[in-house]
Amino acid sequence: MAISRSAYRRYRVIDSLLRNTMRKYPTLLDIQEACENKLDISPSLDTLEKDIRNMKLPEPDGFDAPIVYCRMNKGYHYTNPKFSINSISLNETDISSIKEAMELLQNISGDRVGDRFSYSINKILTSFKETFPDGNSKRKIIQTDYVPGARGFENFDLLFRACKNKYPISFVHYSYNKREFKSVIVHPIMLKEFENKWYLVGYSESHDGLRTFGFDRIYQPLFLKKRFIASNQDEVYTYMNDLYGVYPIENQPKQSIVIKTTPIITNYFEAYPIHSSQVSEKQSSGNGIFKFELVPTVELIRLFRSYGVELRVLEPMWLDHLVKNNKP
Amino acid sequence: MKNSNLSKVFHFNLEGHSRTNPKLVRIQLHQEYTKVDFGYTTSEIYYRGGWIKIASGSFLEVIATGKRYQLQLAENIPIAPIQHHFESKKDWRYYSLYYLPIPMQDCSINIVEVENGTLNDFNYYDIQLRMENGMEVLE
Repeated sequence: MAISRSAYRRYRVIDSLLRNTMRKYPTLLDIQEACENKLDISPSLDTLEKDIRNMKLPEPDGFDAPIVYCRMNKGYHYTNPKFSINSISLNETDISSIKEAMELLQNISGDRVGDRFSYSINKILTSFKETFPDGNSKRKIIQTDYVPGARGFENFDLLFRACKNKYPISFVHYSYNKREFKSVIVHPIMLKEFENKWYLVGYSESHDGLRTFGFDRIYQPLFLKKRFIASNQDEVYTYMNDLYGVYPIENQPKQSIVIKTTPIITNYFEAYPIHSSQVSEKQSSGNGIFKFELVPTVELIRLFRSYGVELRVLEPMWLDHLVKNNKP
Repeated sequence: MKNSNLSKVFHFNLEGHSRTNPKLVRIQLHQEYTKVDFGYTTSEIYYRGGWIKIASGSFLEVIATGKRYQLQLAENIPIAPIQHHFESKKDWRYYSLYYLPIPMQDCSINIVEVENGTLNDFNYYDIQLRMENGMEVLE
């Protein structure tokens, strides 16, 4: 039996009165008065009595509400003070799915997510333990490549909010290469994780273009009350989709990159494509020819170098020289 | 009505009165404090990068009125005589000093660790603060 909208509104009023610990044991007259105040209607006492009966019905017709009339206090109350019709009821499948999801979340997140999110997860985990005593959330089944204690990660929440709400930010940046501090204004676009390191991507006023800033080099970001400068959408798209890694080589557009790999390395590239544009062709010898459409990055060069003589860049030639020269 | 949370931040890239001084990178004016942010990079001059500290008597001075605003809190740098010793000639440190609040109006200030000090003291002179250059901070 479906519950009508008007009945559901009355149920919510009844529920709120029964959960009000400051004024316990409401009577039907109290409920009627509350309906008048909150809903601008005055249901009959018969209707309210029927509502209470319906709320007590088992699901799905009612809410299985533990409502009883207390003769001593001459009013209604919940026998379970924690009960509310707003509580979510779960069946065995729901509970099982949540248990699995919670364990997965705890396994893969650890300290990785921000404080506020961790707090929320912990709240859920607390009730999870209470509600599902057989849950074994301590046992780690999935191990991710994450070591806690990364510098700058404490700003995750703030930078996330800046991206989400489009708040320009002021922060002090330290450049490892230049060994130099600089105050910068950035109009943030997104947070990006690559090889277990976190980065902020945004429009930098002083660079007049999109830039990537490692979390570890960002000091004391502040939200600014300033007009947000939206970046060129094509440039943003490139940053989001055409990079392997985070630091593009300056003045290099998206281009075809072709590499040749030995049979062993071919297996890895085939098993773990490094980019969605990757196209492969296997030679009879077992060598692989891989083609990408990418903006060359510092990280791409580092990856290619890591395979030594097992990998050779066929195109473009300048990239081949750069990889061989072993200079940044 | 006065907004007690009004805060403005000014960006700088100012060297001190000697090349081994930290770089002054930001000043934040708040109704309750004035915060100055510095970045220090160690140099080749000192053994293993040397050390830094800040004198407890540091103050900020509004040049026009001569009024001084004392250091209240040092963040990420010890108050003398305690020193932070670096490990190498390639280290760096970001730190902030909180002073009593200065009026939020156009002015020039000095930030002084030691009056008539040596080049090793962290002194900065005649820093221009124009309110139109300050950016309002969202708290």
